[in-house]
Amino acid sequence: MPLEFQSISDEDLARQCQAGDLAAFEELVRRYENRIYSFVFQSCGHDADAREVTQDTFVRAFEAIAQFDPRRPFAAWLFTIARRKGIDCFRARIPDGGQTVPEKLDLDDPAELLARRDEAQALWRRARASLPDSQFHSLWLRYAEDMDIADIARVLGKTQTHVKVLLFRARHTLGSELETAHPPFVLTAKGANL
Amino acid sequence: MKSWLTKFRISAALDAGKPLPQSLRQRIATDPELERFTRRTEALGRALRSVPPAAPSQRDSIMRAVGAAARQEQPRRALAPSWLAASAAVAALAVMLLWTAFHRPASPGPQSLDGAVMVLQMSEQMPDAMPRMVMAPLSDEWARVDRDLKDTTQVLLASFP
Repeated sequence: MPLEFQSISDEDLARQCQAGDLAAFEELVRRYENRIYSFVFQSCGHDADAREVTQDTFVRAFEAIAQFDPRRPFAAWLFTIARRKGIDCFRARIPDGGQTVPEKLDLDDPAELLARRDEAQALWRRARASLPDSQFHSLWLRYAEDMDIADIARVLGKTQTHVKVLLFRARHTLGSELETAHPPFVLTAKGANL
Repeated sequence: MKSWLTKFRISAALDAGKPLPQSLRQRIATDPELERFTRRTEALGRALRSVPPAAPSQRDSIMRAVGAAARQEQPRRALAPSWLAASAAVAALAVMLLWTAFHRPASPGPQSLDGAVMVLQMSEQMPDAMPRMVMAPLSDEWARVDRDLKDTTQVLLASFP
């Protein structure tokens, strides 16, 4: 991370972008590109489509940065754009399976990372296959993005109570799926084991 | 139904990231199904927090696309002030024209003065224009009308600055 931006919040960076600072926007891209890509890729399952939607999301964000209210969380605003941009991609998703995430080139410990990646990917793929869009998105934003209920509601354009219900149903469906899975998922204190 | 509602309350409380309320904890402690549900929800939450690693960076291509968008945006932004000024001027002119058309200040002065002068002339000419024979029975009345007309004229004339 460039030192000049290290202690600056996303919202302050967005404010700098509004004043025409392209370097501040690049820092936002650096912070969010993986997160937006993962959100879109997990939803549609196509690497090329996810890359395109990710790029479109940032271009749109740049064009609309003047409309962003820096008193609101930047992440929720950006994910709202990503969700809208990805709607067509989400509709065309492959229900089960799909591509795997292209591997990063700078692996420190390839074996461990591969195992972790496979485990997490299998769980999220199962979630994607068994849950409707809104439930999957609320689950992703809650756990992968660690967003609070209010921000998830903003991204999805729903009430907070609705989001709570979506999460409840999503976990109920996924939990039941995992219990009957072959081979079974074992939910442990560390996470899920295949 | 009651169990479903309790599960929902547990689920919502866990999502809020706060400790479960005492009443819920008591119910969980006495109900094995609720206890199992809570354990499963927490375990699932932990499992879902492990996110698959992301793809290689595409920052360069994103910034190229953003740069292209910025270049397209610049001429538009440069043109914007002149367009704005021109539009504002046209709009102001249109508003002025409309305002003058619909709110033309009444020009009471000349019209009312004409009326007053006419009334005055009528009152002066009336006795001469009528035959004296016809006028005789009504002379008092005419005198009153004449006086009223003159008074009215005076009032009208006096009301103009």
